Amino acid sequence: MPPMPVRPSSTSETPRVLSRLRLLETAEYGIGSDDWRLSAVFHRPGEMASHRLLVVFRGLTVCLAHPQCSKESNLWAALLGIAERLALVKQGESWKSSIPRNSNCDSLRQDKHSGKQSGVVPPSKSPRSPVLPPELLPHIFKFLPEQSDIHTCALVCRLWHRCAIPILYRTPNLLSVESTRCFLSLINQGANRTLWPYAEFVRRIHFPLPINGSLRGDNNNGCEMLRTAYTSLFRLVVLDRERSEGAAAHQLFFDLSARCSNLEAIEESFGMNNSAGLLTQTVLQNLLRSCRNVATLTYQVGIPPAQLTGACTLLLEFFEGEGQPIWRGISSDVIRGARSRVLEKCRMTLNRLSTCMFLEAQYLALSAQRLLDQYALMYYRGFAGATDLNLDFVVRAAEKEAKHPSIGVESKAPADADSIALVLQAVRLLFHQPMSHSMPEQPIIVTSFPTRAFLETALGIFPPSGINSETVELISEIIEQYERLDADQPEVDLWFRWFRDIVVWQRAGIEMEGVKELLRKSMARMEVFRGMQRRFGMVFID
Amino acid sequence: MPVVLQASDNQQFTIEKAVAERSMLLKNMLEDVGEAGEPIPLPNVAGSILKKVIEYCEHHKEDPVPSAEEDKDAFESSRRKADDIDEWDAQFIKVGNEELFEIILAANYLDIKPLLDLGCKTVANMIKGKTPEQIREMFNIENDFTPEEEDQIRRENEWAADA
Repeated sequence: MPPMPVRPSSTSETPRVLSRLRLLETAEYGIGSDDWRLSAVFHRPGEMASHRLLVVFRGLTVCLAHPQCSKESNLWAALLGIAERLALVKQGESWKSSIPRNSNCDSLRQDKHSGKQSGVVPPSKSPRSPVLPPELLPHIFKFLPEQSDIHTCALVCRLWHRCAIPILYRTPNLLSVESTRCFLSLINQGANRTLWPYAEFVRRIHFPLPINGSLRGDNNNGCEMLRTAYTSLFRLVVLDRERSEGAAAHQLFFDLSARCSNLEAIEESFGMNNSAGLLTQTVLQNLLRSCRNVATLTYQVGIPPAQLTGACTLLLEFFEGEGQPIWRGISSDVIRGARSRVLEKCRMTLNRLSTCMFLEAQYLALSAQRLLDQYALMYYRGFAGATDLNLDFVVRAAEKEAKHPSIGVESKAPADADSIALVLQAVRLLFHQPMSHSMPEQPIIVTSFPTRAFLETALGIFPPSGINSETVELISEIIEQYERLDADQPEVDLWFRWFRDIVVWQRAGIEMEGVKELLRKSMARMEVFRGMQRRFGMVFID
Repeated sequence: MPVVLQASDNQQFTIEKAVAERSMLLKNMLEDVGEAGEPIPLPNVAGSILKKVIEYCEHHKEDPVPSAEEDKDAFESSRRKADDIDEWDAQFIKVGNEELFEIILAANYLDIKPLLDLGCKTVANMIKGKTPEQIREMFNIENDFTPEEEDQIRRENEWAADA
């Protein structure tokens, strides 16, 4: 079969390690011969790039097995790097990885030095009238509690810019998922590609309650009561659904811990009662530390942390037995020697990864619990709200309406009459399931209104049985109509408060779906790790 | 024992020692040199400004001296509130920009932390909610960014832009 040409991307993306180790490839380890078949390993014949990787891989293994191997950690890093590529090939994914390699930045770095010599970083001249003492600018900026004001100061002139940036980045306040994403992409660009080494300034990152945004991803249609229980950090983790199973923790934790070397804490605040924030803060602090542990290794080799599990699995698979086709031609003593080292390294790496995973799971559980508490609170509110409702009022109103269907309910103000009509409409919807939603243009005509006795039993159940998203939409339309009326009817108000509780409860239920999915996935990830433990007979989870 | 201060324009002010000791600079000086009775020259402070500063120190001479520890704490917490200015101070600091800046400079030079904070808070309050252009106008600052730089700064700090 004809060999496929090596894609240009695979050469430009080759990690540092590879170029350094190209020498090894040609070294005399008795490798590079074609006596073993790639297809036997991968069933992907013709992958030239992976072929070369395998050759290097074998060479590295031989080196690692050498009793006087002095560069063990380098070799390990290289092995991991190759294992990651190979694991990707095996999955049939592209060679592209999410972490920009150092080699990619080189051209830009040069570009910056040659083309744009006059960056902002060293301000060459100070403003014309320096009435405001420059040395006091940082002191003044510290009295600006609003981040947006400091941001404005950074745009005034070079001098102000220079003073404001370190303050702005010292304790970033990430208000929304969007700004968090902007921030992450900025620090991931690396210090060489931005005006400032922003990540170095960062000490504490703060996540307040979101101003808007739901856990489903729509920007404004969140559930107000739930919104007091999660921050934009949690929202981001919930919203990023397509996370691979091997990712021990969300990429952002690795990014923050690896890029922001001075980062001390990630804080979440929940307004007045911040005991919840303190608890998650401790977990987040530990998570940060564990992620940093892993990330320093992976970023050095250029592997995205999410691929680390896959790389380790591949290594373990290769060393599962000495009879693997890849080792043909290498003496079994050598393989045994390398095996013990690789196994130990894999165990350590997986142990670190699983620590990250457990800490993240703990963070997720704490956050989810907070949401569940709110959810339960909403339930009890709706449940208790039903007891305040005046049943006689609606039953009487319904009787009146039945007698005079054309003039509607008698009342002093027309708005009040309309409001009563709306209550009746909503009660019918909830407890009678009218046919109206198939023909929304038609007015709701229901001859029999639910009896008082029926209502009494029905109200004992929350949410009312038979409710679905369709009825909830209709009810919320009725609520909107009522709000436009500006009626003054305390009895009606109580009913509508209850209707709102129903709508909120239903919406919150949908919001919680994402959280449940996240928890399920978190459990699934743990299962992946446990499965690996069983499969390779290792213990790496504490 | 009164202390005599001499401003840059040779104006002399005779004040109580307790008032002078609001300034850490003068306090240390008095401790080191002793009370010689000689006028203390303050070449960096104009008479009109020194008068204002003394007015402040007179009013606050009974205040407890902030401990060094508290001070450090306040500095460490990176963002502080600027709206806790008491009524007298607010009236006192209602001056033109130029005078305000001179008071801040004098407070910095004389090392009077509460007055320095007051001045800086006042400037911070002036900055609040303004656009860069308004700030430049207010403080007579020239925009020395190139359009590309300004663009890049806006792009990189986009995350902080929303209120």
